[in-house]
Amino acid sequence: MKALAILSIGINLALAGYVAMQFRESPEPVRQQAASGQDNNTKSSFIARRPTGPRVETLVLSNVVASDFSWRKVESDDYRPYIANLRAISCPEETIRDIIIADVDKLYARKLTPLRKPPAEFKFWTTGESFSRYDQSPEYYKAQSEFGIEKSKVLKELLGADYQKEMAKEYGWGETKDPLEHLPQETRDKVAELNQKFALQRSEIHRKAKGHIDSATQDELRALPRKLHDDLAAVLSPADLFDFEVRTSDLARNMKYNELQAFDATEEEFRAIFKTKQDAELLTPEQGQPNKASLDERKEVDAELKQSLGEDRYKEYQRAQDGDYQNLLRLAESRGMERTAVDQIYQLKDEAQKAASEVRRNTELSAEQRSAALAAIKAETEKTVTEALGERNFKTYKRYAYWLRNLNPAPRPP
Amino acid sequence: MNTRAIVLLSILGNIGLLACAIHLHRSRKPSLPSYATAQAQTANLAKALPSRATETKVEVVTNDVVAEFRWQQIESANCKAYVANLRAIDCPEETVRDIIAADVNKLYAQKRKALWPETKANEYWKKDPSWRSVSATETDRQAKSRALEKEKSELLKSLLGVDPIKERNKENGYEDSWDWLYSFTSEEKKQQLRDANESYDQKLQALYRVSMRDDDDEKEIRKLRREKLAAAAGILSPQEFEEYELRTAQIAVQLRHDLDGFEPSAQEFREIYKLRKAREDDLAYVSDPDDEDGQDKRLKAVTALEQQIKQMLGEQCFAEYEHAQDHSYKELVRALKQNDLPTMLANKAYEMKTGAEQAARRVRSDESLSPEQRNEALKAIRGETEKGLSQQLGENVFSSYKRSGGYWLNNLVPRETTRRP
Repeated sequence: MKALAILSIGINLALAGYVAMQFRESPEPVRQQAASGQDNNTKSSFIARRPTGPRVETLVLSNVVASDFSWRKVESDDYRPYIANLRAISCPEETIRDIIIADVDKLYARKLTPLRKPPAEFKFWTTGESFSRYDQSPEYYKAQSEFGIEKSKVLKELLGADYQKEMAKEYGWGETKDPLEHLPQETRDKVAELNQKFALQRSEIHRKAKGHIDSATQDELRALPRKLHDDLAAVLSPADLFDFEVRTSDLARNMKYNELQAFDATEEEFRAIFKTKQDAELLTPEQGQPNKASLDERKEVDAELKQSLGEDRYKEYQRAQDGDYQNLLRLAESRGMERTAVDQIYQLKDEAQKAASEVRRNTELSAEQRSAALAAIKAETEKTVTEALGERNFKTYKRYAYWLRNLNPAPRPP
Repeated sequence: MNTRAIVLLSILGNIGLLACAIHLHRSRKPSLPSYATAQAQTANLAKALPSRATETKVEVVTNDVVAEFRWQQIESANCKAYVANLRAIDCPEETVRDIIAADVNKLYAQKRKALWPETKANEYWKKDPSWRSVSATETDRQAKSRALEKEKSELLKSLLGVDPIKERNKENGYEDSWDWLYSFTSEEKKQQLRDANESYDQKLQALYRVSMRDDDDEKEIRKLRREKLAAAAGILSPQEFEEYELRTAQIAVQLRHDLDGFEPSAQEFREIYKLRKAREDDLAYVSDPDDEDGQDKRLKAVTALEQQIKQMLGEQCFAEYEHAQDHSYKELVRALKQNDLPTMLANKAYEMKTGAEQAARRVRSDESLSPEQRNEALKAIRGETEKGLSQQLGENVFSSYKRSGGYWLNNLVPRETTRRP
């Protein structure tokens, strides 16, 4: 009997412990449900399957744990709850961005669809500029640009994400640091807006030109970056404006991708050259040729650059601007030649041109003597260039090296 | 109290506590806070959803409680498993594609980046090695980059059955250029053509990037293009091949440019193409200025070709063909098109040009005129021609044309040179 009493009391203690534990754990979800105003219907929609006729609401009665989840439980016609639902199931922020950006992209693509003409059928006999498969109406291009701006705004609002940056991340385009990140969001938005407006205006000019860029169109296109510069100057401090433009302007891109391909500038040099070029551009009249005053001012700007780069680097910079030097460099690159050969020939070009110039200026020489002297300079130069480049490369180079022909030009036919 | 009473009371306690424990156990809810939050949000979502059906049925399900769902349950480092998991929770195929395409894009963006380790996006002052470079290293990187693109597309197709990037481009109105170019044949043959062209295109790209090509390079390019065409001929039917050739062969591409302003019929284009193709090597540009034989041979080939074209087109049509070889005529047609005007106006304007040039030649060779009289006469011709053109084309088109193809108007009158003191 004593043993039975001990056993029964033990069971009582164990059960009392369990009951106490249950009391501690159970109230929370109930409170939350009450707070959210959740009822049986709510609970049922959480596990509802895709309806195949009338809408089916399922009521859960008991408590066997089973894993059951359907995507429809997070989907919504409204982006905000859709995002909230994805977050609630711990979907990573990056995946949420991927889903929403792709969705918003498609939403705007669909908005454009009614305006879009289908690609033109390929007719092999259709000639010239009219042979464009994506030629759309002005309304289409206008809507495309406007939707682009709207799309960026929507995504910013929904996700706090920068559409361009996200695309850059996805496709591996250069993800650059925003030089204006220290500025208030409002200022940055204004800058983005001005940039988008600029892009819109530029595409409008191209659209109107229909692939035919005449000098009037060129004038219009030239005026645009200046307008953007002026508009940005009203929003940014001079230092911020410079930092922004040295990275993003057409001028800076042209330097990076074209003009300075043969120079290998340091950051300091790049900024100094950019400043010179930008100052020179701003001195050029918007239409027509530069006048004398602007040319004089450009000389001053150039002198400042020379001082900033130093004598030797300035020389190298000038050389890198020379089309002939660029041609030589590309030839050397494509045929696996050393850059020293390029430098050697460029040096030779300078010497040969100076020697030819002296011969031409020498008034003591007769016409025959002058001609013979120039022919000798040309022959000697060609020989040295051939030795440096090799026979085949010289033959190629000769086609483009007008300076070689001009050392002793062939007489003009009568 | 004796032991019996204690045991009795204790057993009663056992029963009471057991009943209480069972009740508590049965009434317990899944309890993770985020589960409840998710339920609450889903409830709101359910209210916001438009009703898909007019009637609502309540179905009672027993013994089925949902465990908390976490994204980690479906996410996987293995793409195939990830896709399967997403499909298993009824994620719409379109969303599956969006998720996977973004992941795969990012993966390959990293791989592509690794090909150019020295390129740092923030180093705005540094030149981009992938830009215009023709070095062996760069050619190799470009080839690897193209291979990665192909690999990516194949991976996406194997995972999803379609290439979602291509599909997305289509939705945005950008049809794959291959699909468009080869719309005359089946999907299977399109793929065969892509595969066959790939190695030729790689070799050709390497040569195209050489900005200073010599005649040997040009010969090699022509040889590769012919081989590429021969490979396509092995895949396509004769009719398909003709279409392929007229769409893609370099001679046809060049012809579409050269005949701008002529607007040939399909048959005329086909015939001129055949004539040019038959003389392809003889018509090739001779770059060496000292190669007189080569220059002469080319000139003869050009003359013979023009004779053949004249015979084929007839006198009048050939005159139009000849106009179209003149840059100033092409510019005129472009200016008209730009202003949505009929291009037939170009012929009348071109007649004015030839008339004015003939008149100017007569004035220049008239020995009886003093330099001043000659200059005045030439100015009068130019003034008259400008007036006529302006009337014919309208002020806008004429002004645009004058700044592009109308340089010949300035050449009617010799430029006045200012002598230095």
